[in-house]
Amino acid sequence: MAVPSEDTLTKVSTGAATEFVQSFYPALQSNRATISSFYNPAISTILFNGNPVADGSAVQEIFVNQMPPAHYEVQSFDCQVINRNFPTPTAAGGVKPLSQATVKDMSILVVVSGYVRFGESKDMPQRGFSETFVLVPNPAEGQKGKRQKDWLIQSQNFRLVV
Amino acid sequence: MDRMLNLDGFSFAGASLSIEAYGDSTNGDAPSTADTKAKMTAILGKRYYQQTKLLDLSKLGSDPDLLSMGVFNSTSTESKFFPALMKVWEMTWDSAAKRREAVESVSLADNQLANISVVTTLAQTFPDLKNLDLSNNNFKDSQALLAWRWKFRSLEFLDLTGSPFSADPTFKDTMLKWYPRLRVLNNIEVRTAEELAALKKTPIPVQGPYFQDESQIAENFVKAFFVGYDNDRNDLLNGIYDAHSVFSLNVNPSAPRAHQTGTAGWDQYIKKSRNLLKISHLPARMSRVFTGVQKIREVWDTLPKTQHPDVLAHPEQWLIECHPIPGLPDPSGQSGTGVGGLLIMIHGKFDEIHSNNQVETRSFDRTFILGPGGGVGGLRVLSDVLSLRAYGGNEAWTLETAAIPPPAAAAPLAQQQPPAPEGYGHPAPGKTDTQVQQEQLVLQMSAKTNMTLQYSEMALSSNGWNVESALKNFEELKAQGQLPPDAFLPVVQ
Repeated sequence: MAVPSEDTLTKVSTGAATEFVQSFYPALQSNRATISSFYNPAISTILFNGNPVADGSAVQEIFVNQMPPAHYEVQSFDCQVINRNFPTPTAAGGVKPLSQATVKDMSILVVVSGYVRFGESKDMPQRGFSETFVLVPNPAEGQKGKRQKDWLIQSQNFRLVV
Repeated sequence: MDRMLNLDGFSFAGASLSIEAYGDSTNGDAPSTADTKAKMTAILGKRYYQQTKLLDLSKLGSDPDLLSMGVFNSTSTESKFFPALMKVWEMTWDSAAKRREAVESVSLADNQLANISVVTTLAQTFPDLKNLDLSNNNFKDSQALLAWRWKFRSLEFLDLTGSPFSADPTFKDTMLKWYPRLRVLNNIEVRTAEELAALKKTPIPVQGPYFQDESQIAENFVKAFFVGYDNDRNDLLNGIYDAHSVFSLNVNPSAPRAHQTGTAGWDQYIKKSRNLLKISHLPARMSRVFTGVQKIREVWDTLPKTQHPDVLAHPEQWLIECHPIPGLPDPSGQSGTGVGGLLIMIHGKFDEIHSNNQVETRSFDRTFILGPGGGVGGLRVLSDVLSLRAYGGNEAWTLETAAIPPPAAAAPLAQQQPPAPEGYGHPAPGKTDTQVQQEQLVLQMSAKTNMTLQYSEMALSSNGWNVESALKNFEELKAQGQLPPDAFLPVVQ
């Protein structure tokens, strides 16, 4: 592929981070049955307050069955491109050759700062959190007519900090 | 709480609060501002109990010093006296932190207050108050206190006895709703420690840091990074950043905070902040991310000088987590499948030292990606994202202590683990692998012998850290009655 310009890299990465943040937190709040769809099949590490969680379906299971209603408020977030030539796996078990790669074959670091309120009452305390994600290109082949996520979570670390 | 109860039982002189316009020197008879300030300072001094952190502002109407100042001779400027008193109090302290620490309790008992309009500035001066005695006043309903609805978020003790509002059927529920940490209302416990703990408890239990390092790379990096950032940013950049390193910062100006006391503004950061919620235009998004040593140096040079707490001396003020990640760009360009590295996430605080010697404490979150490179130790920083927010303390990651006894069923399990200091037996920055292994052996030894950690360690070190021989040695000494009683942990019933 042609080497993308810095403009394009910034546009694509910040767009991806924005879309991710604006869809993931609402899903934690009110669309928990879709949580696992945010995760890459190959997971590096998922942590919640120091507790390791195996994969996306385990995260979804916890949110569906164990978590009280929660209100998340993202107050600040930022992102950086990690690898602009991310080795996206192919269905055949190899890695997508550079000749077929697009600008979307980048991994992205996303850092979020905000607060969460557990429970339904607005009187519950606002707990500050910091969360770091590594997003990687979705390895799945796009199906016609079905919109799928371009990036998925490879690593996630949620920490209450206030 | 007792110190507040001790204030009860005094009779109120009944003089109504009416205040002269002192501090205002338009009147020829009025004392000078400096004189008024000195008198107020003296009065505050008499009413401040340093040891119990109590400021007793009860029965102001019968205070002979205030009476002799003529404070109560006129009703025309009643609103000016209390704010002036608060101002004088604030000027007594040279830092916001000292002022915050100085007072936990205030009494405004026996002041015939029908509402709080005269004393409302109390909430600005003492936002973190724990105990507030408003007994023997004349508040009719919640409306009379409404200006404090969102103040005093740390309030644990509130006394409104002697006001008609206390008899209102909604009184207790309203106060519980207003003050999330309230425990004692009108000298009656309204929330138990357990209920309070449950409120604070998160559905996701707080565990110690997850720290999966490789050859102490992250540990050494973190130890060196913040010392370098505080003392010689240039050296740090030359050592471990390269032409592809990326730095950006973002400010969260509205993050929850530990104290309600205002923080200094974000002027020195905000023009660099890449909070993507706010920065939506592409040119700004591009100009606020800094790639390569030179660009990062330029932005670091503009950021205030910092002082981070020592990682080894104050581990509790840090939360440092780390794990390996795959798929990083290979600096040599050889690997088509990417190379591995470390993702490091750090939460902590720093002091900002300003030229006028003012110190501002802030909290931060900082995420690094380290990968192989040409810097110190064959490493380089690929990504460095700094998030800044108001000081939020370290309570959120402090492990819950045994304030709540574990349920009976869990007790046998709990007994298997001897009591140990937090983090004991776990890796942490500054601890060598050998240390961690030895601590784990000490824990094992202690669990098997019921000896204290100190004696377990002595037994192991005198047996070359061989658990088997240490145990054998222990049995012998025990049989010979040579172990003192204090070698053993207290018996758990």
